Amino acid sequence: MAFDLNSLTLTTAKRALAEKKLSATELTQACLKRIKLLDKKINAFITITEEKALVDAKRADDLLAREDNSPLLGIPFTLKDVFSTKNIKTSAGSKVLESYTPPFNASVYQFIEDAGGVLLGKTNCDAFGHGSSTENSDFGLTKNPWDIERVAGGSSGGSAAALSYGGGLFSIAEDTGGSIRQPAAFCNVVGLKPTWGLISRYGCIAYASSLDTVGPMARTVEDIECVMNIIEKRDPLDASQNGKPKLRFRKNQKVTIGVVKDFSGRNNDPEINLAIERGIQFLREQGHTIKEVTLPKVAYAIECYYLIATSEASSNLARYDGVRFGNSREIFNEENKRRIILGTFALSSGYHDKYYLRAQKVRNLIRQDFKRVFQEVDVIASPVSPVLPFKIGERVTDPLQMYLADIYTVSANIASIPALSLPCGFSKAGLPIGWQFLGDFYSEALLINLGFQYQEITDWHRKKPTL
Amino acid sequence: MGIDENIKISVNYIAKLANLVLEESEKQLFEKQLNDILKFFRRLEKVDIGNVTTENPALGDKKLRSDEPSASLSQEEVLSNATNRTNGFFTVKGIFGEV
Repeated sequence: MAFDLNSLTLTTAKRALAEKKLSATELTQACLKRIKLLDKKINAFITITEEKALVDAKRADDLLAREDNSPLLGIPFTLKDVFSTKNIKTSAGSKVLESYTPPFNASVYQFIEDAGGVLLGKTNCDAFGHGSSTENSDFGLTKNPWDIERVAGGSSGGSAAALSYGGGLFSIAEDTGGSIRQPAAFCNVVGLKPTWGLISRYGCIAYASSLDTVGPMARTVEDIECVMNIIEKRDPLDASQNGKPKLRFRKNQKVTIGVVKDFSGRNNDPEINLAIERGIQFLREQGHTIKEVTLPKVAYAIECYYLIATSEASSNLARYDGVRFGNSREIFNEENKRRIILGTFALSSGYHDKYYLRAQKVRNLIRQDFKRVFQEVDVIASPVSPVLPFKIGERVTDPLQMYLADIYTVSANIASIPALSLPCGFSKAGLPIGWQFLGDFYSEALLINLGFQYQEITDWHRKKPTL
Repeated sequence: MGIDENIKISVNYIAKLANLVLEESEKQLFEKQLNDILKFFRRLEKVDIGNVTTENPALGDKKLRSDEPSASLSQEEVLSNATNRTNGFFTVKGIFGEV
């Protein structure tokens, strides 16, 4: 049966499968064909699970024939290679775990399998999540399908790029300082960083435990909601899991949207500012209220983030001792070593109070800023990145420059709040621009509601790269 | 007490704490880069902390399960990724050796 993989979404694919307009096997085969055609050039995948995918698709077709209505039955998806998949290589993008095969499944993966999803493969990422471009992957960088001389973003560059070119209809990734949202913006897809603690992290290879957040990437906001319904399941294996999303989807709900004065004054690419101003105007015309807000302590978010994240990473990466699993620590790449050293220093005797503890205190001041603002507005709209997708090699040799570009994304991780990144336009040169909606704890449904309304009046998200 | 203007990371010492073996070129690179990064972090010193604590409001209540043994990984599964194993144990480098 003929169908156009480019225009399919998770939601429309589900409908097509139910109406027997296409089969799960045909859908999976189409995705695998795209991957075979494009991935040598793009390098979005570390492992492609072709055999398993075809077996799972066939099983899905048998179940569909019996009117089984598992919510993700037959839908092809990918996992960032930080999620443990039993008997399937899991590397976290690092040569340290090059030959590591987990003996268990990450819980979110198990939930999706139980719901009938078809795993296509494990996607490329900066090793251990240390990076904002996927140039720090030990398995080669991932190119941006919109311009292969540019990066796909990071650390979940592989997930974003694969989704963008048709290698699956959703992906599960992880966001510690922007790793879902920035590649989503760079590749013209949607990415949600949920409230910290909402989604189980069991089986997700840890980078910085108080910042790591598991979340979905998909082609539309509607698809994001569908995946969230599956992965937000309660998991007894993650003792830090808590809270549940407030409200359910209320169509056409009008909200008050905060625009942060300091954010547009910064040195953003002017095309990004323009796209966001236009987005704000669209929403104003739809009946939402726009209000200017301030977040003065967010000026310190980068320092907080890089001190807390590297400190927690130095502890989490101590487990890689080459004894129970993995290769020796000498194989950590330069960025991994740099972050371990910085984090170890920040936690070391004599400096712990001045650096790590102080960063945790300033963190709570940032939280207070957001709490105050969310009493005035429902949602904050902001850029995701101050720069358009940059050229390969342009920023990787200057770590501080790379860190500073995370300015808009890290604050959501610092404050543990949810943030939805979605397309809002293109530069004159055809590069995707994304923006994000931030909300208070457990306000995912509000963000999804607003995002859905925005996607009803715009079609940026429908555009696909020409490859 | 402020952050000392002249704080420099002793990469040698920190690498030892972090159980990392670094090449000489890496040590020099990190010494320069990390000291630049630290200078940038000095901005935190200017923030008025007041009485703020380090309590994390995102943490929920402690959840405990009943203390009952249940199925876990088998010994074979646990050893499956080991670099070296002997008689069902992980093999490690000797700690007590000849001085």
